Amino acid sequence: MEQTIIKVDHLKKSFGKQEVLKEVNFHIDKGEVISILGSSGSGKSTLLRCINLLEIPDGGHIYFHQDDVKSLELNHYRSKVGMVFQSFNLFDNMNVLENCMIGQVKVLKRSKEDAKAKALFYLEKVGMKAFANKPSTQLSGGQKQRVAIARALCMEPEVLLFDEPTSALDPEMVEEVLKVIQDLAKEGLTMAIVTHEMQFAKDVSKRVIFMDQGVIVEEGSPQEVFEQTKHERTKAFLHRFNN
Amino acid sequence: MKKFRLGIVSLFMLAMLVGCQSKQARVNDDNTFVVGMECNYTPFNWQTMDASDTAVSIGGAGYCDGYDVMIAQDLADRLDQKLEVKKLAWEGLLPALESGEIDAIIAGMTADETREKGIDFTTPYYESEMVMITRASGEEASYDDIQQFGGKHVIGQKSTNYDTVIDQIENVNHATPKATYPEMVVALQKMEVDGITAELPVAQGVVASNPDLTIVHFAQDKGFDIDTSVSIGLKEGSRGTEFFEEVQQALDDISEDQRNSYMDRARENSPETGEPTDGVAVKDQGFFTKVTNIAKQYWPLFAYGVQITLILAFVGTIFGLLIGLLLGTLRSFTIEESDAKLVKVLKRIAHGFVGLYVWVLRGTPMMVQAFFIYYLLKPIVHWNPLTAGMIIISVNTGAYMAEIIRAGIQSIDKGQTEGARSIGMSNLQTMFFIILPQAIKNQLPSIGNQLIVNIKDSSMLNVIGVVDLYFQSTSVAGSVYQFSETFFVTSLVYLFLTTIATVILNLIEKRMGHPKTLERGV
Ligand SMILES: Nc1ncnc2c1ncn2[C@@H]1O[C@H](COP(=O)(O)OP(=O)(O)O)[C@@H](O)[C@H]1O
Ligand SMILES: [Mg+2]
Repeated sequence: MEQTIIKVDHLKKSFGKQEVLKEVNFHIDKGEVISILGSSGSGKSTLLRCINLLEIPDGGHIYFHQDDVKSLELNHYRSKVGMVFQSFNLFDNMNVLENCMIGQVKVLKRSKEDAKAKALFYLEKVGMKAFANKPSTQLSGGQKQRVAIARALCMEPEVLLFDEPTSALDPEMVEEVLKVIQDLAKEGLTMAIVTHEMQFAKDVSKRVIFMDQGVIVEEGSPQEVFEQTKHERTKAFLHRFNN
Repeated sequence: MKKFRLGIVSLFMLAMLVGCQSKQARVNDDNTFVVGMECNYTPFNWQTMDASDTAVSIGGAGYCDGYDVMIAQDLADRLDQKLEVKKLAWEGLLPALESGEIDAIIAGMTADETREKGIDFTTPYYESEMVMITRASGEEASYDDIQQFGGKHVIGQKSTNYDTVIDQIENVNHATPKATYPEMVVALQKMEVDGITAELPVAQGVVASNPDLTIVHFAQDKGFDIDTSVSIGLKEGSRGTEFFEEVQQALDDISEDQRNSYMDRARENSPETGEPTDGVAVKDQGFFTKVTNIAKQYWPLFAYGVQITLILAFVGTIFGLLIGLLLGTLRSFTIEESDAKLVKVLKRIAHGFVGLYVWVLRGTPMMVQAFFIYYLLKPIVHWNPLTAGMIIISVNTGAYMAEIIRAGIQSIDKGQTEGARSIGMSNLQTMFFIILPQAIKNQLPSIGNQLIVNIKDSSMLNVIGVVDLYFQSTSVAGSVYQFSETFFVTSLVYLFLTTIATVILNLIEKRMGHPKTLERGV
């Protein structure tokens, strides 16, 4: 039986009067790649941010393995659940290498040497080793996102959450980032990816989730969701993308 | 003579009374007679580099000399005590007397009703005449009745009764008073005013170094109705004590002849008559010759002032930045849902404290803060003016820095915080390693600007007797009675200091990879 890393149980989140997540149930198993689809404003980002506890849920539970995350030490938990943002969020006051080392040194208390070795290892994996000493502000969007992925990997998280990792990129840079994520998928890294890249979602995911207005409308294998679509809302959404 | 106006001083006195009850007539019961004066009121008191046989050292700031010094020395000898002269701003004299920092004010001060409430005065030690300084070429030069000045523009020194007596002239254009004689003389020369009210010895000093000006004496009963005697001020409540009686007795023992001879000597020695240069008398020297002479003759006084000003500016900016970093950071920790109850309470208290700190210290003049902090804490910490000055300017700058840092932190994109949180960095780590370095870098121009501001604003600390560049300049100006010339030198020195500071700050900014800023307030 597959091991569940994250289990989301009746999750609720509101901003003021607006109910953004209404009773969301969802889980991520070890080694799985999940794509989360849905139109803008449907609550995808909020779901990921709740899992990482960047937002505090209003109701329901999130379990990390067996433990309710409320009982865990917040920063320790976050280091286990990596996050890659649409807008990269690299530290502007640091170069590429430092971006990848700071979390290891300050949170995981690794030695500088170990942290550097690990940083270079993951930078090589995303094809950014040659840029190790460049200030992060001087990189292109695609390069920044690859460094951001390396930064998250350096923490050796059990699951990595991606929130529209290619949406802020110029079209010619999308491929290089998707390629990196695809390679990670092949290595068996557990990932949940919010994306609008349908072909990529089909190719890389084991499971696809479609969200609308704060609920998960449809869930299944790419085959099931894309070709044997059950719900009207999903059909309408996919229809817009195919034309 | 000069008179205090009720104002900050009385407000301050109130705090003093609450803060420290005056128990004894004298705090220093040792064998020194400590006297406060401005050292910039020729011929009563002035500052000089020359150690004449009447001058008394005032530390690194040179010597103080003049009629008041001679009287003080005579009294000290008769009291069998050692004389110590403390150079203080006019507004600083009363608080210093009240706090026991000085034993007596001998500063050309007139006893009057208002002042009697805070000071016990002896009988007068000099009596003079109230005159008017006018342009020698004007029709006013021949006046002998104050009423002839009706319709004319007349000015007097701020916060003194030189200013209030002007209203005895009917239909006078009472000009806005200025703080110093230097400024008023310039106004007279620039035709902005037609007369300056003055005490005779002071007027004589002014005219000696400004040959284009003259003195108008008034006929019997046609002059100002004013008391022109000056008295020695002792601490309120000391009348009747042994010390008061001793001083009064010593004063009575100085004969009329002796007093007159002191005044003659003071006039003779007063610096405004100056040295002839290359055989040219002072009154015939050009502006730049006078400027050069002042710079040459008084450069040690200016240098001492520069040293103090730089110490204050750098200490104030560096420690102000540290205070600002702490307070600005505290203020920037947002209260979050996920915080424990206690943490929320602590954050609220911290926000409240920082808010209050910034509100009070930005909302009141540093001069007033200096008064309060210095004299309220004086009985507890026994600090000297310079130490107090360094702390006050740091505390004051801290308020501005707190706002600069807070604005800097706010300007950092939220994504930076989220990036740090997402890899498990704590709030403190995020602040320290990610946010603050960027905030400081972004705010470098504003932080540097505080240094420039402090170079200039440190001058306000003269009220507690910090002898900075500005205070030294007023002394030189008040001693030589060449005001434009002295302050021309002062301006050049300040400009030099701020320019050097600007260049250094620009270099630092460049090194930190910040785009060079084109504008900088100087
Ligand atoms: N911090 C916030 N404050 C208020 N409303 C928010 C906040 N974050 C998201 N929302 C609202 O919640 C809804 C869902 O947002 P989001 O989760 O970002 O959707 P998606 O990622 O699917 O586009 C949107 O209507 C958005 O305006
Ligand atoms: Mg989103």
